[in-house]
Amino acid sequence: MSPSPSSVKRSAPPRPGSAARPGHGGRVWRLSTALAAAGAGVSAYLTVTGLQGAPPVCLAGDCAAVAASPYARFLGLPTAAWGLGGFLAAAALAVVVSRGGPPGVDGPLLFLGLAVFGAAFSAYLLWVQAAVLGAFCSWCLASDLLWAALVVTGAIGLRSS
Amino acid sequence: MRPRPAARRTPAAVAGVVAVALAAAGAAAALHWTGAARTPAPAPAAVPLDTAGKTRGRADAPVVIEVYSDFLCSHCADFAVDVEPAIVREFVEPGIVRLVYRHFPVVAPESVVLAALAECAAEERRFWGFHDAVMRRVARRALRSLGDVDAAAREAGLEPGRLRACQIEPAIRARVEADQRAGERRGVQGTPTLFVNERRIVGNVPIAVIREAVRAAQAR
Repeated sequence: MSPSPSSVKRSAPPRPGSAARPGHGGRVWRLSTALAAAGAGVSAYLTVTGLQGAPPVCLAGDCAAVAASPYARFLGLPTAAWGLGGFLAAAALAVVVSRGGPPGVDGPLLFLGLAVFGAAFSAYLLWVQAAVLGAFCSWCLASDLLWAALVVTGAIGLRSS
Repeated sequence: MRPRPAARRTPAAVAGVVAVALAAAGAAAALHWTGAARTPAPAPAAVPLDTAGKTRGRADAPVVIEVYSDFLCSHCADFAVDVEPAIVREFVEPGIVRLVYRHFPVVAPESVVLAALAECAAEERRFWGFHDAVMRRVARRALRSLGDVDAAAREAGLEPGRLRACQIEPAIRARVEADQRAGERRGVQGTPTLFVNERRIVGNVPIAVIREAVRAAQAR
């Protein structure tokens, strides 16, 4: 018996980089968007307190010590402002990728690169807190975790695309 | 709508993008690290002050400026209004100098009362607010009555009645006397007299003199 057109469609080998698990990619990009939006929220709060010169309300750790350190500013802005930019870019990219864009660019790979950049820079900031300042800021740790999570979702999204 | 498949994506391309991302993060971290090293740490709002609360700046600042002063001395007031803000801005906030106020009440009997009131303000962590409010009035010859002192206290967030009750306490007066005796032992004869670490500077000197003294103290 010859295969039906629909079975041919199901059994056709995926093109390089195409979705291996239908439906999975959409969920992972929605999750990525949510994670990046959460990171943007955390960074926005730290940016506002940084611009005001006020210590952030600390859920745990010593946010005031971290916020008062010279590492809390980068190129004239609160370091968190750069994180805010990164998270917003990640969120926007995740939305675009979930809709099939951006045209002419490997969106999932770009997203993974951005997430790896953010996570690596966060790892450096984590090291600064541990080894240099001897103080941790819970908001910063939340941001670090979110970047790590974006690497995971980015990798899953890349495999699914 | 699902993500549009990438036309060609090889493991080498993925590894390349990850490597570029890591290298960029490393470069950003290096830039951040060197930038932070060039930035003097701002004096945190919660810098521990001494028990009397009469200091401004980091406890571990390399240079200490002690100011022997009298609240009724016009030169002291001019120094407090004109020079001290520059010291705070240029040296205290960047963590280079710790500024310490010392009582040396010699102008009039009321000088001791004002010094004691300031000690009471220090107990409520409002010494500098009271100091600034009083010195501003003295500098513009506007501290003429007890009512003016009360106004300065209120401006600093203090309750004048409680302050007046506090200033007669023997322990408060003893602190004022201790400052004055220490000043006499160090050779203070008039106000204002400054010690930049141990270098003595007499009078309401311009900020340029302070700058030179701080630089010399840092170099030692």
